Amino acid sequence: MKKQLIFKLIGLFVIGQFLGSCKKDITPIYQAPNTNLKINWTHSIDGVPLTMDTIMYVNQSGSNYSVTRCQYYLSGFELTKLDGSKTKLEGIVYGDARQETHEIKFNGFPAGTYTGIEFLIGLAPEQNISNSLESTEGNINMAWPDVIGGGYHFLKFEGYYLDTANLKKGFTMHIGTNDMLIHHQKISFSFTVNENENSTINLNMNLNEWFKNPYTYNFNTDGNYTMAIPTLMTLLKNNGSDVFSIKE
Amino acid sequence: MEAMYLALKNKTILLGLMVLLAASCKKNETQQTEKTYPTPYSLTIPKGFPQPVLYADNPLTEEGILLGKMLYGDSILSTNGRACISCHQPALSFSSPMYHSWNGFHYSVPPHINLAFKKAYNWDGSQGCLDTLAMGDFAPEFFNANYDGLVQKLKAHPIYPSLFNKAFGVIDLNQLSYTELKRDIAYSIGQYLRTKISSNSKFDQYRRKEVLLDNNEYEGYVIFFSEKGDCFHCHGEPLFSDQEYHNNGLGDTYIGYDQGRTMVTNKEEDLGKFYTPTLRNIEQTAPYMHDGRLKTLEEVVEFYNSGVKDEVHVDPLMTKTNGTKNLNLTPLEKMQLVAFLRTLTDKTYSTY
Repeated sequence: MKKQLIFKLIGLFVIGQFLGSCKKDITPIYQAPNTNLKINWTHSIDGVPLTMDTIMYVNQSGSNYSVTRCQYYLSGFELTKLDGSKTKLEGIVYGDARQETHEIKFNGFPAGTYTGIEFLIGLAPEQNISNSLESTEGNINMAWPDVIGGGYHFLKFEGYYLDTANLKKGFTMHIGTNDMLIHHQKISFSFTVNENENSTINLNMNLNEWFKNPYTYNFNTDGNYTMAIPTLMTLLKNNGSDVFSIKE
Repeated sequence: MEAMYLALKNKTILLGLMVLLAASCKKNETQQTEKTYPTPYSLTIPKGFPQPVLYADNPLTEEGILLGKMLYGDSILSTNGRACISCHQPALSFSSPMYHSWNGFHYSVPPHINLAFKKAYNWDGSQGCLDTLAMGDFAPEFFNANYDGLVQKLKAHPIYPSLFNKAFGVIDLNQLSYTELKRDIAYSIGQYLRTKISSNSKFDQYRRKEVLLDNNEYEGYVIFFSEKGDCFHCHGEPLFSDQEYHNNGLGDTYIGYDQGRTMVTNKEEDLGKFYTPTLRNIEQTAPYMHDGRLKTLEEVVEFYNSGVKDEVHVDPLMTKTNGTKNLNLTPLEKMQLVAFLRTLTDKTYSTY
């Protein structure tokens, strides 16, 4: 009798396990929505498409300048829903104003109507770690050496300007380290992402915004070199929060 | 019934024979394939290095690399006794101890090191492909080669005809035009040079936590990779070259080869810009700068410390903290920077 009970218990246990495993097998697999979003962007200076290497621009403080380099990272993209909640889009993209096209693609996020987009210029601390990005030429040259903190440059903005004596001088506006991460403000506009459709957002970086709002940066009085000078990097960081806008 | 059995048996035998025949055909086909195509070769890429620049029309093969290695060291390519290693001496990281003259201008011989990762060649970047780089060396000022003599010498060689066949399927060297012959030679040398990868300097070992730097080397490392020396923007890890073109303030007159990148682009903004050389094995690759004007590492450090000319074409990166173009290093700091540069020597590299 006792033996029979033991056999019955073992039998029940085996059946239970079997049913359990069956249940596991039939758990529905989550299928991400078939949404596709491409973000393109361009570079300009006060509405004029950027031309590299020519002193033809004037910044807010009145300095004539040219751009020889503008390289940066964009990451931490977030879309704002109608109810104010955020949809995170994972991805890091390296930008180089000398390149002709710039884009990043996202997919598999909820469809719906959104009211804006925000992102980081630079890399979040968990991503800003030396050698964590693929060893492409761009990433290699954006490395921020370990002896000065490690990680990557968030921005390299270089060129020439004419000083107060009208002499041509170089400027190097570099930003890096976690304290200098730029949270770009929300760019507000309404757009709808539908499933099984391709959506596109077109943005533009106005490079002159790096030199104004809130601080009018002056090469002659503030300096033409931000490296290892956190106070100057902070001025650019604050100015950088609105350098992008929607491209009409 | 018996007839049916025999018929079936015969069919089975026939089928078996057909399978065997098909298998044997397949085997022959395989043998032919093995005979025709060279053995693929795969590069081992050190951690942190970028992907190598490879081209589909010149895949790396063991036979191509061997042919390239042999030709690289062989004066058979020239009529004047020169070989590639005459100017790219293995003991000097495949560079030359003196500058060379060309059209009245001096230029130093770039070392052949980690070329697999380079995207342009020559100081002005006038060559964009490693595979065809050596084709220019047959000119009178280098090998002074001639087609007939070259083909004759190669055909008479006990190994080269077979290697050309295995590497590139060349049945008879006579059937190649001079351009085709130079191309195959250059392709094989390009293959060989891609295998010359250096990643075992003392500094590499330090980064892999295998050795320690001494105090001066470490302080030099800090100077190099901080704004104090500000070397890293153009000479960062792992290649110690940003693969870009810079005017580093050597001069204020730009004539002939000193025009640099402008000679290729015809753009005024490229005046005096040269391809950033690697600093790997820099201790072995004097003289320095594109024209070989500096003889020692001490002279190089002093140039960046106090000799950069404040000229309108100088790269913005040459601007330093104090607004000038000087580093203002102390004698101790300069010595430490040189000590660090010497840690970039890979003593296991300079073997041919």
